[in-house]
This record gives sequence, structure tokens and C-alpha cells, in this order.
Amino acid sequence: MDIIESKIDTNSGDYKKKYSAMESLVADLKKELKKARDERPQKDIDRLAAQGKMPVRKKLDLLLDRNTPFLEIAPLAARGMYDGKVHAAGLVSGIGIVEGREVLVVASDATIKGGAVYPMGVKKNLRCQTICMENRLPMVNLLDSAGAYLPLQSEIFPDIDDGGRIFYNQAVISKMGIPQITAVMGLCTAGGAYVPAMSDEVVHVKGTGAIFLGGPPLVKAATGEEVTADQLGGAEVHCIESGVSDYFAEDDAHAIAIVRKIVGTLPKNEKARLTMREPKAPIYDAKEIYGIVSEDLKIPYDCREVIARIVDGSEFLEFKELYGPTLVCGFAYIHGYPVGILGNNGILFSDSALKATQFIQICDRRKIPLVFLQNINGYIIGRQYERLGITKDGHKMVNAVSTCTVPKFTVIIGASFGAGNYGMCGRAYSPRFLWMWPNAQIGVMGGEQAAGVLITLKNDQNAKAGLPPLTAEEEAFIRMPIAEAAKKEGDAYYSTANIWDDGVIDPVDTRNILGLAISAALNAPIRDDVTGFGIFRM
Amino acid sequence: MDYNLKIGGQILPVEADLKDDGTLLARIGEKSFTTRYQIISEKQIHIDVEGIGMNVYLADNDDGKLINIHGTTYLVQDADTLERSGTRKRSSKELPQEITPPMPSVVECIMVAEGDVVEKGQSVIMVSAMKMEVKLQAPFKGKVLKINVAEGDKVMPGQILMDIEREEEDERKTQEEITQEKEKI
Amino acid sequence: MFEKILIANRGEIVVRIIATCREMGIKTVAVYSDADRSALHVLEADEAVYLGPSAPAESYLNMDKIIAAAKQTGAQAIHPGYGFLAENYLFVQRCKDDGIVFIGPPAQAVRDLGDKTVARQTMINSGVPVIPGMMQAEADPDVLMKEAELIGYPVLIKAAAGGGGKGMRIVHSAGDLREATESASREAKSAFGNGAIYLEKYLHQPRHVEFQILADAHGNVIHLLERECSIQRRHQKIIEETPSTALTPKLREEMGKAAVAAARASNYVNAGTVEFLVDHDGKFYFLEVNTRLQVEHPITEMITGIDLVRQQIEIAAGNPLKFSQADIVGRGHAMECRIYAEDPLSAFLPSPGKIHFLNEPKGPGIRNDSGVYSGYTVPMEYDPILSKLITHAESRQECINRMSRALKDYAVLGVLTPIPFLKDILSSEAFIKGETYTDFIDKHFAEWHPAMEGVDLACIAYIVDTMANHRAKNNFIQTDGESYSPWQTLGNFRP
Repeated sequence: MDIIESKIDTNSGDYKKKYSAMESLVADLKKELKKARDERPQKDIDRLAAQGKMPVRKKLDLLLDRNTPFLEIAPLAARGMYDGKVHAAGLVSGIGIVEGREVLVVASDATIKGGAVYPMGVKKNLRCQTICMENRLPMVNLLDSAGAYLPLQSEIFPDIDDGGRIFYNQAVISKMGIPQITAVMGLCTAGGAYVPAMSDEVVHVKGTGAIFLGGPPLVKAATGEEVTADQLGGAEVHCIESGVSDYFAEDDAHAIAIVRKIVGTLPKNEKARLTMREPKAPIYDAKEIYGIVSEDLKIPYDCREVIARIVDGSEFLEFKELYGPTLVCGFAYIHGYPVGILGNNGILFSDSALKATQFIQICDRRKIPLVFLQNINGYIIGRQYERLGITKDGHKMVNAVSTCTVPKFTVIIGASFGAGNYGMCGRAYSPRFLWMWPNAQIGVMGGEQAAGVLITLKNDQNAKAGLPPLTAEEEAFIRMPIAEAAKKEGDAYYSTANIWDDGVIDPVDTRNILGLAISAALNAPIRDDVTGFGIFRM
Repeated sequence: MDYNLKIGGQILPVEADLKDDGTLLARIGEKSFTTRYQIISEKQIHIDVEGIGMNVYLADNDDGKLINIHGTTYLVQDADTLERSGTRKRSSKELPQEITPPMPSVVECIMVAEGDVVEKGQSVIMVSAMKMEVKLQAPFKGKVLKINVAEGDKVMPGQILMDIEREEEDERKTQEEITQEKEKI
Repeated sequence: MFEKILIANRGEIVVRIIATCREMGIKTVAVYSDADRSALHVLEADEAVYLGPSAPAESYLNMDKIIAAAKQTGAQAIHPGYGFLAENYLFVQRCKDDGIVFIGPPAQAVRDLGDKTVARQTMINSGVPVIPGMMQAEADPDVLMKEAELIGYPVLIKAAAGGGGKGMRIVHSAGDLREATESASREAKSAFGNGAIYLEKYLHQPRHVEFQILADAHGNVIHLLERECSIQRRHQKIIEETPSTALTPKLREEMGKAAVAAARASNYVNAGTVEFLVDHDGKFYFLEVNTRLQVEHPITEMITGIDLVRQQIEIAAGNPLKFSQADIVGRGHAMECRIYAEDPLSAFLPSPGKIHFLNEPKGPGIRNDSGVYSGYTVPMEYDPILSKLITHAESRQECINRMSRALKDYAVLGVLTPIPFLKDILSSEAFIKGETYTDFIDKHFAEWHPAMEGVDLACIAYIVDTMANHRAKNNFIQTDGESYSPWQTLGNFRP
């Protein structure tokens, strides 16, 4: 393996400018995360305490093994949505270690709107289940939810990817042999009642936990029966009489202790074997990434510099270095795991697309996980290139990405526009995990480009109608809203609010996060019974 | 990371920020400490707290960590995880409050007579079904008022086989017991 | 010279004796019971013989088994250590009868000096001053009452058959006498099998000073200066030192002469210790003779430079002493602290268990006679002694400083020790001033609690160890093929 030589001058003004720009983006990110994790209405905190319930972060502290990593999934979901206060969509979810095992934890945050389920909450839950299924991670639910947020029920209930899908997935997950353990630490009403019912094992907290298909108000309205939540579906009812719940817990802390014991009985999962090497830290300081990558996505840099600060020992065996130079790909190790890395140094041409396709096939054959570092504006356009078949070469790359069976991991480190997103394994291509850096931008095309397209179209229309071309003012009039919309709807925060990614991360953490993700992904076997790709149009 | 450490009978809140470069910034209660540390071996570390260096020897025990500084050994425990490892005593398992058979059975033997004083948990009647004998017990201390069945009778669940009048003191005591148990937990 | 010696004991004393034997080129045989299978003394010896179950009666006190072990291994001599059979005259006789050299005094001397009342009589006859008291054991409470009147209150009830504080009671007035004698007698019976008691005058604030003597089989008897053992807890010594701050050179000379006279009077051979009580006026009284090597012998070795175990072996082999009284010079000051596996906060109850980690103190003038090692499980069947920590320095204060420093460096993890208690004693004003009377502990340290001054440091150390030493590793479920998972190594990474 060759060590990537860094050509960055850390003393240059350019470096320092970029560094401080990224530093402040990261500082903003940390502020946002803190707000999402800590800002709660005092009255809700008090109400929780008065009910004798434990706040969600404390539950996680007790549940997870001491001093172990916790990889949170979509901590900024629903940011700025609804009334702006539904932080993390009312759920805390992530992968952590419980009794020495990797487990995906989903916990309701009852200090956010009483744990009510918003549309983004459903999407987050489904995303977690997808992670469970793809990576075969046991799931632990800590439930305390007031139920669906009724005013938005049309976005929560009816469609294929709405609330009902959660229970469908639970049945499928169960059939797959993946354990699901639920602790009922609050209300689980109607649909919510199915989460514990569909789980393998249920721990029910006395007094505060309740499971029922219809709550007291509904029961009273329907049959006139007056009954309390505890009488209707409390721990005694379900542990002693109905058998819906399996373990009786005195309080939240006890329930968590029981969950830990249950997880402790799970068999050791055999992980997919990769040929590992001893991990080595990169020889360059990861923080230098701040001075390499630019907030202004038009400014190019050599993505090898980024790779050098992520991979073990900064060692990289570059594949087809001299051919298709706008795509960099090669073999490396991250935390000891072998990976095939693809990065962008410009837009994709035919040669780079073909190179990527070949590389993906090689990695797929050798069972080497793929890591995509996306910074792509798109494929080349223009008459010359269309004639050379850029469309079919782009197709080959998309085909390979779609049909390969090794785990894929994507980090959007800059631009993610158009078909470039597809070829470089965007969300729709099912990478096991996808993250964004704070400077990332995503959209069908960049705002400027989109505005340019619209202006050209309008000018063509005008020309056909015999009208003069647009004035600078009129151009600005078209350009501004597009630019603003692109900016708003294309930045990392918008993406993460909509759960188009699994989180916005500090570039410095990329290596560790990839390491944890790869390790978690290995809980699912890398299938060798399904080989081959779709037909490559040659 | 935040810890609540139990040491020498007191619980101290600790906020710790451990950096990779060998420094630890810690707040214990109201005091702040800057420490440089070095891991020497599995059982030995060297710390430099506010300029004073010392060797510390450590070993993990079943219930915490033993830490020896300058010849004195301290037992330090993580108060939060102590909480979760404690075994929970369930609030007193309730005896069924009525003398009634769990399934259709035959009365085999009536072990007390009307007017007897019985203790809580005392077996008062034996029924049999499906080749099994089940002894039914008095749910509280009291006096047998009326026996409603005779030996050889066939009985059903829900049918009260015996009426026992609860002794008054017992009720108060049970209340006390319940309160005491609540406090303990 | 012997070719092979069997040491009929366990723990640190055996390790210490083995050391000298090795230097002399003598092969060593250790004996052990079930509980001591992996004890240090077994690991150090050339050969080891299994005795049987852990109960002392079936192992270390079992004369048949020990003699058999000696015969089986061809050991020519037996060193009894201290405790167990060391002062059992029947055992000494058995050795003689079976043709094995007993490294110690002859049976007659052991017998005579072992009986407290006989010993007292011997001393009186030789002009060695004794504590006013009874000549023989007495059971009749009326006689006891009369004797107590003669002696004068306060009186001390003592067991005739043994020491170590068992069967001892202090009685201040006639009204308490009857009950105290009955209780003392019961305790003595249970400890020594013999409930015989006698009375002595109880001295106020006495100092416990003992003299080491060596006597060869050729009639040479010398003393090797004194040891001060006043720091005691429930009549168990915990700190010993030499020289004693209570002795002037004149008094030392007088007492030394008396010690030698006592040894001669009982036809003593080999090493022994003559114990005296010294009262406020500098008057000394004979207490007893310990017919064995004492636990605290190392402090004498430090100031005189003489290996007492070697002398014992030489004497037992029939060689004459190579030095005279004039050759015995004490240099500097030495102290010993006994480190037991005990909980100083729970009335010093034994605290057996596994020693997870041991860091023994080192440096100039430091000697640690240890019977344990890191990873060893201290058994509960025997006296929980871990080691004896001895320091030697030029002056008493320097010796105190050295011992304090050594105690600070002594890390024992897994069992409780009185090290914090000892540290506090050594730094106390009374100790530094040398006010070491036998009521020292009761007077100054009756309600002792450790100062928890290092609590913050301990918390810091806990955090460093937990977060940086990555103990999460132990609990992690490793899967094959994944040798280093970042879930194990990244500690508390929470992006």
C-alpha cells in the first residue's frame, strides 16, 4: 500500500480561510445537536418527573454499557418542521452496545409533545427498521408515546410507507430471526399497542406502562365504560391476565435492568468475515480536512487529501490512477476493515464512470465493502459526450451500484446533484448508512444551474413569441427564488430534517463513524448466493 | 461523560472530559481539576493532578473498583449502574383473596372447623383434580366463619368454599408492611 | 551442617527461613494443607509435603504427620517457626525421640518456661525481678480473693497455659473479681485447653520491652539487645521498634544481664526472647520467656546485622556462637509494622479474599517479609498475616519517616489492611514523642476513622481508568474474524 502524500500547505491563507469557515459550520452543527438534545419545555420535564418516569437520555445511560460508543441515527430529524419544537421527531434512536452486543435502540422522548408520533417520527422509525433488517441488528424499543399526532393523521396513517408499515416490518423482522425487545414505559395506544405485541419480549412497567387498542376516552365514548389507563391495560392486566406482556417491572430503572438481562441471553451473532488488518490511525491530522474542503462547492480540491485523513495509515492503493482521473478509487483499510473507496475530483465522464463500474465489480467479487465520498455535480453533458455514450456509461455505473451485494456506505462531503448522486450511491441506492457533512448540498441540480436552465427556457420562449430576451432585472427575478429554494431545500440541515440521511456529522468523526458502521453492518452476512448485476448496456 | 461516584459513604457527581492527548478535565462537585494521565499497565496508572504526580494502583472488584493512592485503598462505585444491578423485591406476592379452587375439582379434605382462628398462609382446605392435590390457603389472619362445602363435593372456580373473617389488627399491620416495603424500595 | 531442613509452619516465616537455608546451601522442605496448596512458602521450597485438610489439628498441629513428612523427605532437622508447634514440648520430645534435630531449645526448657507459674518460680530463684503475683495457678475463688488483696488492686488475671491476650482480664476492685476469674478461665480453656489462671499485679502504663537471647550448646549465652513492643491492640502487637525509648544505657545493661540470667537459669539453648514490663519508675519485671523465634525478630537483625535464623541453625548443628556479648552493637533504629488482612474499621476483623494487586515498598533500609503475592487468595482458616514491613534508619525520627513512606508505597488491592491505621499511628504526636505505653491504642486511637483525604483523587483515577483503559473490552462479545472492533476501542464516542 502506498501512503498518500499530502500536498496541503497548512500555513496558506487559503487553508486558513477554509479552516475557519468549516470550523464555524461544525460549531453550528454542535449547537444544533445540543439544542435538539437538550431543549425541552420545563413543564414537560416536570410532568415526567411527577409521573415517576425517567428522562430518555438517562434511560439510555442505564441501558447502554458504560463507556461505549453510541451512534445516533438522525438526531436532527424534523428540525424546523411542525412548530420547530419536535426535536429528533420525538425519538432518540441509534446503535449502541448493550451487554456487549450491538443493538439498535429506539426510545420515545416523552418530553416532546408527550411522545406523540409525527409523520417524521414514523419515517424515522421505518428507517431504523430498515437498518435493522439490512444489518441484522437486534432492536430494543423503549416506548412512551401519547399516540399519533392526529391533526397530521393523513400523513401518518394510510400509505404504504406510513404507520402501518412499522408493524408489517416488525413481523418480517421477526421472521428473519432478528430479536425485538420492547419496554412499555408509558402509553402504547391503538397502533402503538402493536409495537409491543409484535415484539419477541415485552417488559411492562407498573403504574405508568399501558397497552390498549383503545384508550379510556375512546372506550368511554364507545361503550360508556369508565376505566383508568392502568385498569384498562396496565402491567397487572397484561402480565397476569392477558399474557400480552412478559416481564413485570417496578419502575423504569427496573425495566431497563430486565431489558439488559434479556439482551444478555441473546446468542452471539456470527459476523461476516472480512480479512482484517491491525488498525492504524491516519498519519495526518483529521482536523486538516477543515482547511481542505470548501464551503463554496465550486472550489475544487484533491479528494485524495480527504481520503488520506480517513484511512488507516493514510495508505491507499489507487486503482486505474491514470484513467478517468475525475473519479478516484482504490483500496484501503478503515479501522482495520478492508474497503473500496470512491471519491470525486470533478464531474463524471465516460472513462471515470467505466472505471467506477469495473472497480465496483472487483470489490463486489472480493467482498470488500464500498465507501462513497460524494462530491459530485453530475455527469458531463454536451453533444460530443452524448455521442460517445455518456448516458449508457452512466447507466453502467448506476447498474453496478444498484445490484452489487457488498455493504455500501456513503458520506456526502460536498455536492450531491443529479445523476451524480445516483452513480455515487445516494440514498435511493440503499447504502447501509448515509451521512452528510455540514457543507453538503443536495438537489436535482445546483441552484445556479437550475436558474440558468429556467432563464434559458424563458428566453427561448420569448424568442419564439417574438419577445425580447430577459433583462438583468427579470433574470434576477427568476434567479432569486430558485436560488433561495435550492439553498433552503438543498442544505444538509434540510436533508437531515427530512431523514434523507442518517445524520450530519463533523468531518473529523468520519473515520470513527465509518468504522462503527462497517462493524455493525457485518452482523448481516455478505450474500454470495446472489451474484451478478443487471445487464450492462455496452 | 457524567458519573455519580459512590465513595466512602458519599455520592459525588463528576463531569469528565477525557481527551486523547492524555489530559482529563474533571469537575467533582464544585471543584475543577486538570489532570495529565498515563496508562502504565492494566493495574497501574500515573496521574499528575494540578502539578502533583502520583502512581495509582487499581483493580476491579465485583462491586466496584479498588483504588490505592499513597497506601490508602478506596472502593469507588458507579452509583448509576449500582441502581440497575440491585435485585428487585416484588411487593408482597398476594395470596388469592378468596378461598376458591383454581379449576373444577373435588373437595378432598377440610382442615379447619368453623370458629377456628387461622394464620395468614395457613392451609385450610385441600381439593384435587387431574390427579393433583392443591392446598388452598387463608389470605389473612382471621376466624373461620362458615364452611360452605363438604368433603366429596364437586366445586368450580369462582365458588367460595369458605368464609374467613379478617382479624382487624391484621389489616392495620398489613398496611404498615406495605408502607414499609414501599419505603425500602 | 544439615543437608535438609523441614519447616513446620506456613506463610511468611517459612519464606524467611527458606531464604537463609538457601544461602547456607541447605535444602528445604515445606508442608502444606488444602488451603495452602498455592501458598508462597510451598512455591519457594525445594520440596513440599501435603499434610491434609486445612484445620490446624489435621495439618500444622499434627505431630505425626509432620514427623512423617520429615522422615519421608530425609530432613535432618525441623524448624518450627513461631506459633503452631513451636512451643509444644511434646513435639520437641518427639523430634528427639525420632532422631530429628529440633531447631530450638530442649524439651525441658520449653516445658518449664511454657508453664507461666514454673517460669516465675525459676526467675525468682535466679534473682530476676518478677511482677508481684501468684506462684501458681489457682481455681478457688476465695484463695484468689485473698491473693488479690495481697498483691493490691488493680490485678491482672492471666492464663497459665498461654498468652496472646487470651484468658486475660484486668480487675480494678474486689467486687469484679469473681466474675472476671470465671470468664477468664473459660476463655483460657477454650484457647489452650487449660483453664488454669493466676493473678499478677497490673502495672500502670507499663512498657513492654523484650530482650533477644542466643544460647549455644556450649554454655555461651548472650543477648542481642531489646525490642519495644508496646503498641498493642487487644494484647496483639502491631508495631515493634528497637532501641526502646524507655531504656537508658544503664537500664539496658541491667535488663540484658537479667535476660541472660533468665536464660541460664532455665538451661536454655538456641534463640529465645525474655519479655519484661518496665514501669514509669524504670523498674522492670520479668513477664515470660518465649522459647522460639519471634515474629518481630527482623528488627533485631537490622540493628545488629546478625541473621538470627542462621544462628539458630548453627546452634542446632552444635556449633558454638562465633561472637561474644561485647561484639553485639546496635546501630541506628529499626521498626516493624505487621500487615494483616484485616478491616481496621470493623474492629479489625479478618478480611480474607483474593489479592488482586500487590505493590511492595522498596528502597534503602526497607525490608518486607512477605508470605503473599499478587493473585493469591488469602485463606480464612489461618491468621491473616500478609507481611511484616521493617525499616531501618539512622535515628528514630528518620526511621518513622522511612516507615511512613514505605506504608504509603504499599499497595494492597483486594483485601483490607490496617495500613491507613498504621500511618496515622506513626504520624501521631504521642508516637513521635515516644510515649508508647501498652495502653497507647486505647488512649489515642480507640475511635479511629480513616481520613478520606484522597477522595477526589480516587474519583479522578476512576475516571481515567474507566475511560482511558477501555475496560469495556472485557464485556464485549467478540466474534471470530473481527479482531479489533471500533465498538470496543472507541470508548465513549458519541458524535
